[in-house]
This record gives sequence, C-alpha cells and structure tokens, in this order.
Amino acid sequence: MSKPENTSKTKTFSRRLFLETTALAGGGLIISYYIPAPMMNKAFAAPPPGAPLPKPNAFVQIAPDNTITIVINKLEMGQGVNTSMAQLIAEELECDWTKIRSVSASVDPAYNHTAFGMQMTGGSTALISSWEQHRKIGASLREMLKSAAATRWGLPIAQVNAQNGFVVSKKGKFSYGELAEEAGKLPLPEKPALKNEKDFKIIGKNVNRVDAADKSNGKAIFGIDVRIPGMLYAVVAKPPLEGAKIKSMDKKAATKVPGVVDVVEFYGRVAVLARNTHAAKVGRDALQVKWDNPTNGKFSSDGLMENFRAQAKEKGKIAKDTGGVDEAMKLAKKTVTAEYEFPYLAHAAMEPMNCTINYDGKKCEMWSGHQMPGVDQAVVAAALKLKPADVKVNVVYAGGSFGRRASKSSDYVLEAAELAKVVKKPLKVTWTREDDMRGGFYRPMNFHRVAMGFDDKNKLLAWDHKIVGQTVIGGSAFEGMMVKDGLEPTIFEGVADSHYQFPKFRCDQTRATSPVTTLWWRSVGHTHTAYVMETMIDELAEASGKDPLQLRKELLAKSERHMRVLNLLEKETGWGKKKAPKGRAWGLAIHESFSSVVGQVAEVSMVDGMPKIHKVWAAVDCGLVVNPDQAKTQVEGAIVYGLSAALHQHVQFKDGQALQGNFNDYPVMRMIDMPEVKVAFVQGGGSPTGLGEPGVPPAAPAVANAIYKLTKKRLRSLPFSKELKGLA
Amino acid sequence: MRSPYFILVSLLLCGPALLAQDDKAKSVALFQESLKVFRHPRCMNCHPAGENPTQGQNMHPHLMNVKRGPDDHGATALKCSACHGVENNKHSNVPGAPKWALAPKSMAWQNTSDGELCKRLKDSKRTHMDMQQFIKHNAEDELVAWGWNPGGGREPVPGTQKQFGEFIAAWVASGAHCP
Amino acid sequence: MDIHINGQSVKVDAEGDTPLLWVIRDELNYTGTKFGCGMALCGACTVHVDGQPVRSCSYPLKAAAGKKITTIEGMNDNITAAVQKAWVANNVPQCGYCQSGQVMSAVALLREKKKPSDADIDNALGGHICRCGTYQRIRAAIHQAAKDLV
Repeated sequence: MSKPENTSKTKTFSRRLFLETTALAGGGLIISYYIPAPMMNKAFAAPPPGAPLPKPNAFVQIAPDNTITIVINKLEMGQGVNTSMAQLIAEELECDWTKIRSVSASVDPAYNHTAFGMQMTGGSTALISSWEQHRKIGASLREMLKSAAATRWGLPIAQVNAQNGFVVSKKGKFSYGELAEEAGKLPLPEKPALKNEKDFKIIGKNVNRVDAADKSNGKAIFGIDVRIPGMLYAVVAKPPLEGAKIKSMDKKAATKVPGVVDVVEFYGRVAVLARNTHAAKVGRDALQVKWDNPTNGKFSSDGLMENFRAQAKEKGKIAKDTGGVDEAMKLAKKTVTAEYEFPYLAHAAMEPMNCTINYDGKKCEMWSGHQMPGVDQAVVAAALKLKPADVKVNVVYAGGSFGRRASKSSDYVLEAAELAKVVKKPLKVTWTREDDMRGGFYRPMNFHRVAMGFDDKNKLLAWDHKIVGQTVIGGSAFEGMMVKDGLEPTIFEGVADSHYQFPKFRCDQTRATSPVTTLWWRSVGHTHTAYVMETMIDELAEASGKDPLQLRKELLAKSERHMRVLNLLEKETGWGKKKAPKGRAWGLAIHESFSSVVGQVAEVSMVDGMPKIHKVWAAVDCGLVVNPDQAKTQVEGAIVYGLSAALHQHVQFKDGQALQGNFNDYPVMRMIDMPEVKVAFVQGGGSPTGLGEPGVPPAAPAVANAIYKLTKKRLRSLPFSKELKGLA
Repeated sequence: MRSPYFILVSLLLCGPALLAQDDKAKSVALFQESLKVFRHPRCMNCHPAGENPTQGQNMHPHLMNVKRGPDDHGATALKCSACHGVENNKHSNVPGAPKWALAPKSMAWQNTSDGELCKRLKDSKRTHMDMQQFIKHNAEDELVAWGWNPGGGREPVPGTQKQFGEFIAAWVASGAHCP
Repeated sequence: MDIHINGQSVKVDAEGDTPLLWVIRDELNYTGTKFGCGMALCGACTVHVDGQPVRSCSYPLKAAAGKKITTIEGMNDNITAAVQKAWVANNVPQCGYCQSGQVMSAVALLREKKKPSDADIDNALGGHICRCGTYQRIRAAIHQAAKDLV
C-alpha cells in the first residue's frame, strides 16, 4: 500500500514533484512551470541562443504515398493545435495541405516546450513557442528533400524547387514520398532560409481543422474512450474533506452490485472495480466509508471571504507603487471606493477526468488527455518505482481542459497509477461530474478594494488598489523562484502591469491562505483583475464625465497595441456615432494578457432581471494570425467561457465541502444564451502571440459595464446572478 | 396528518358542526385548501401559462430552453421524452411518469388567480372532462400520481392521491364553488 | 436481453436499470456517445430511439426493448452527411466532446423541419452544453446543412 496522499497538496506534494521532474529533465526547467507575462515576453523575444533543433523526423513523417504526418507536441484540447501547428511546418515544407495528418506526440525531450524546457501545453503559448522551431523544422526538411533530388539529378541545389509536395527542376519532378528515405539520411541544414510573410500560402489561411470530421462523426478517441483488452472500470471514493483518512470501510453493499468485481483500498481512497463504469459508480456510491481527522476543518466560502475582507485592511506586499499615493489621497476632494468579491470556479471541462492505465508490475502504459505528459510520466514512474522510459504515455484528445488537465500534482493520473500499483490489471479510472466539480481544483477566491481620489475638478489624482488573493503557484516548490518577496503574479497580473497611465498608482497584494486547492483556470489572474480594472475605468469615466472609450484612449495613449485595438473596436462598432438599439446598452472593456490585447463591446439588455447578451464585438491583437477562422473560434469560445462564469458560476463551500456538483447548479451558457460574436483582428504581423486565453478577461467587465448603463447597478460580487437574482 | 389540509378534510367530512355552515363558504374553503395541492410546485411546474415549463421548488424556468411545442410534448428534437421516462430514474435523478408532458395551455395554472384557476378546473371545454371524470382524474391518473411520488429528494405534494381524490369529490359534492 | 442498435440485434447482459449510455459505451464499444453529466443536463450522451433524440444516461436499458437505437456511428442518411459536412466547413468542433450529441439533435431537427429558424435551433439544441462555446457555429452549420439539402 502506498501512503495516503498528503492532501494539503500545495504544501508538500509539489516538492516531491519538483525533485522528480528536475531529475528527469536535468534541472533548470521548473521555473518555466508558470511564467508571468513580463518574463514570458523575455523568453519569447528570441529563441534561446544556440538551442539545437530537434530532428525533423521527430515532428514529420513522410510516407511513400506522400502522406505527411505531423507529430504535434501539444495537447489538442480544442484550441486547434493539431491544425495550426501543422500549418507552421507545412508552410515551410511547401507541401500539399490535403496530404497532412496530425498525431499527438508521446513523451520525448524533442517535444519539450521551447521556452519552458518541459513537454507541456499551457499559458496560451503553443504557437508563440513553436513559431520559430516549427518553421525551421519544415524548412530544414524542405532543404533536405531538395538536396536529395538535386543529387539524383546531378544538379546544384539552387536549380531545384520545392512545390506543393514535389521537388521540381528542368529535369522533371520527384514526389516527397519518393525522396523521403534519401533525404532522411542527410545532415540537418545549418540555417535553412525561412519564407517571408508575404509568400505564405498556408500560414494566415483558413484551412479547416484536421480533426473536424472525426469530431463530427464520433470517431475521435478521447481519453475516456480508450479501451484495452480485459480492462476493468474503476470509480473512486475520495476523502470528502481535505486530509481525511479512512477510519472504517464497509464494502458489503458495493460488492453486491451486479457487475462489481472488486473493492480496493488504496492511496487513502477506495476504488470500486467493475465490468462497466456504471456498475463501478453504483458500487462506489454504495460504499460505507467513515473518514476521520481531516486536516482542514469545516470551513465555508462565506467565512473565507470575510477573512479575506479583513486582511484587505492590512498592509501586504507592494506589487507596484509610483509613490505619492497616500499624499494624493489626502489631498483628494472626493474618493470613490469599491470592493469586489470573486468566488471559486471549477473548470468543468466536458470530458470528466479519467485515465486508462496498464501496469503489469514491470512496465506501465497510460492514456489520457495529458497536458503535461512529461510530468505525468515522471510522477507515475516515481509512484511505481519505474524508470520514466518504462512508462509509456499516450496523449489522446482531451474534451476540454481550461487548465484542469495541467494538474500541478498530476492528481488524476497519479490516482490511476496508485490504483494500478495495487490491482496490476489494465483499468480505466473515470471521475463523475460531481467528483470533478467537488473534488477538484479551483480558480481561487479573490477580494479587491480600489480607491480612486479626485481633485475638485473631478480629475483623478491617485488609484490605490488592494488585492487579497489566494495563491495558485504558492506553497509549491516553485514558490522560491516564482514568488519574490511574497508577491505572486497570479494575484496581481493585469493590475500591477496595467498599461493605464495614472498620476499616482499603487497595487498592494496579500496572499491569503485557504484550505481549498487551486489551479490555473483559463486566463488565470486576469479572470478577476481585468474585471476590476475595466469596471473601475468605466466608473472613472463616469466620475470624470468622459466617454469610456475616449477615456481609455487618453490613459492608453502610449500603448500602441491597445490603441490599435481600441481604434479597431471603434470602427467595428461605430462607438460614439451609433447607439445600441432601444432597451439595450453597450459596455466596453480592453485587457492585455498572454502577450495579446483584446477589446470587446457587449450589447446587452435586461430580461427578467438578468442580462441578455445580444452581441459581442471583439477586436484582437494577437500578432500574426496563423489561422484566422480558427483564431476567431478561440475568441468566441473564450467569451462564452468567461460569461458563463460571470453570469452564473460559483463553487461555494459549506462545512468544508463544495456545494455545486453538476450543470444544474453550475450552469453553463447554452445555445439560447449565445450572443452573436464578431471578431476582428488588428493585422499585427510579426509572430503570433497567445490566443487561447486572452479572449476571456474582457468579456465579463464589458457586460457589467453595459448592465450598469441599464440598471445603475455596479456588480461587485460575482457571479451576477448572486446580486441580480439573490441566488447566493 | 400534519397538513392543515387534512385536518380540514377530516373536519369537513366528519365534523357535523361545520356542516351547519353556509354551503357556499364551505365549498370555497374546500377549494382553497385544495390549492395546497394545485399550487404546489410539483403540479404547477407543468401547468405553465406560456411556452416554457418551470422546474424545482423555486419554479425557475426549466433549464435547456425547454418548450411546450405543438403538442405539449416538447419542441422538435427536444421532446419531454428525451429525458423523462415512464418512471423516476434513480441514477440520473430525472423524474418520470407515464404520459410525461405539459398540461395544455387551456389548463394553464401559472399566472392565474385562484378564482380563475377554479373556473378553469370546472370548465369542461378546457379540461375535456366532466366533473366525475375530473374527480377520477385527480384520484387515479398516473401522471397526477407522480406528484405524491416525485422521488429524488423532491418535496411531494401533501397527503396521498387517494385522500386528494376524496377531497375533490367532497368539493364537487359541496357544489364546487369558487373563490 | 436483445437490443436493436445501429441496424443490428445484439445480446446485452446487464441490469435493466443500467443507463443505456454505459451499455453503448462499455459493453458495445460505441464510444462516440459521450458521458458528460449523468443527469441529462448536458446532452453529450444523446442517441436516437426510434428516430427521436434521447439522453442515454437517463434512459434505462429495459426501456430499449423493441426500440431501434441509433448512435452517432449508425447515422448514415443524407441529412447526417449534410450536417457533418457543414460541421467541418464551419470549423464547428473545438474539443469536440459534445459534438456527437449536438449532431444527433441537429439531424433530428432537420428531419422534421427542412428550414429551421434560429428559434427552432435554440429549442431543439437547448439541451446541449458546449464548454468551448461553439454554439454560433452550430447554428450556422445547421442553416447551411438545411440549404444543402434543398
């Protein structure tokens, strides 16, 4: 038996993970686990000097029938990497796009993230981090194919060309399939020439998603669909409170459930193994387990928030200070103060967590939507006392993630491995929706207080911003590197680094503790900081009698990208010239995150006391747009994701347990709620910047600003339903 | 029984003292007591006035944009039977009963006054029943029966269907007066 | 018991109250039908029973006796083909997990309504949740499929 998991994961577990991961990868990579925006920009300013290019054959396989398989080293979880990353290689390879297939990579150092030094997907970095690397891989291969053909013809390489899957010359043409074997034996070109942006034929084009057909006809295999011969299905009873240990367990009723094969105590949990998922679940629910001694008591989210509020009265750590805030506030003739509360949020990806694993005592193979497959491999290898090489990781489609599958502790994968260690039979562990929502990891709760001081002409003198937030990365082994002097970027990103030019500005941050486990949730700290900044900017506009768009332009005049986005948004909406239809109002927000700037205008009316969002215009600067239509889908989805949370979602805790469990009490926007979304891109060019997440932050404040125009209510405690319908 | 409605039933059926009261007032009182059933969310949720049924004890609009549809059985491709079977589903917790559907618009109870509701119940053009059929419907119908057996932690309507049938019979016998 | 699924009659050995979903997925290995919530809230498990969309997580095996079950794998008519073509052309799927269910309802809608309005679509597909937010494209794809089928 393994020792029970120490469930205060953020305190001890990650340290173990840190050491193992370091051992696996040779050190120096953990810092990139999470990189705050300023560091990320640095990391991406240029590829690491002298970084060796992985062998192209790790990424590209050309078959004799000219089919080209691109190995994608990121998890396809909906964001479209299997298409967009293939586009990068295909462009330089000069191949026929219709011959392209994409497959997910297994674990290999070749597939490490170029900046993070580990194999992972996250931080809206798939394209930005692969931009140079993937094009160079395609270009290298192209040059090798040309070289092979030139040798065959006895021509200098300058006299052959690569075109649409063929190398051509005055002597004829060879298909890539014919040349692949010879080309593969050639050395990697030192500096393959990359194409000019104006010559792109595949990058910047709306090629359809390579996975669209299989995802429309049921053929796509997700983690939960994997089936291995003789496999048992497991559903697990987990400690209801953090740190609770099994005191007693009665399995009689569970074993009587038809289809149940075994009940196994493992890892401080109890698994019911059955011949189908349903029997396992019914068996699990029939277990009589008594739990003891939770490390965390019967806390409530209301109590935690009161605690946060109290801490907001005390000085924390200074994340940004222009100086002179206190003096300015003393001189102020008027102050506007606002307090904001943000709840815990669950990711609620459509595919519940699961892992299929086959461990025979010597070797292990597993299947899941692994977002950090290298970490998962290392963690499982350690748990099973195997070499990482003896743990084969199969990355399959993930039914969404939004951060959940980038588990800091590999929690659900490790759980499956711990069970496999005991059972030593092929098995699949499936979480129910409730397991996922109640036993998981959350966007942390946050409390903000903003005070704006004005002179007698309603001119802003100072902006004093206090945030009490809960750590996402803190408490882990990364804390020493990522959290400097008690300052955690996930709490204040989007405030302290705001581009708004205020006369005096201070951002003070307190990292509060809470027994609730946390994790990055699509756009991380920006989920709350953008809301506060953008609703307060509207309040500032009102207080100073200015138009919200014009005020933003004044305060962002020095930020070129923001200005381009605002101008595009103005043009798209006709802001200032046109008006919202009767009974509706427009709200505006703009926010930078993950190196991209997104502005949105929401057209809203109130129906039965709740906002109805009719339309959202989005203006986006994400640098060069690799696949415009797919990029639009990311923004459309981000808006739905952000607004679902803002309208309805919170995970509340009472007596230490999450109250919400499924889509009835954690509602998601549906077809009827879907606004028309219109996305326009600033033609930024250069290289791509992030897009999976940056569409989320402006959505909620844009709607909130419209709601204010309609109701004169400033919504400061989310979700909106709490204040608007008293549904708390 | 705990419910005042049953105390009243007992009194009305058995208490000679009350029989001395004005017949009409007694009948109206009976109807008003019956509202504890008619107005219960288990019954009201599927008697909406408009196109959308409601749900839950707080009678919020039925999730999923559920619509009445042309035949009160749901919209095209989202029929009631997409989710609701002939019995409560203990695994999904979705309630079910034979003939699961909305009451027709003529039998809308939501957004009606008690007096109007009462009139509708007596209006055979709306109910497509005579009063004897109406009594039987309340006493025996298998979809109506669900209200007393909603399962899944849902609050049942008070009493039993049999008692309610007797109660409605008493109201009809008293002249079926409306408030 | 015997059930009729995707044009075949198959023997199933499971309790009568077993949700059809798990019979389909775990016993019969039709994995295109997905588990999302187990409470008929999300629509990922939608199959057709006698041509009508049904949430298989809330449909007991015993109710399937004498009925024709069709999963996404068994959908092979021209309406399905038009819907799937439109799904691809409109880049509808993102993670794709909910899309089997969405397609099942879209096809059922188009079988009965040749030219559905936005409201028809909102009503027919209201039972489906997509966390990636593909709703706008689903709407467009259904309209396009309707056009293609004329």
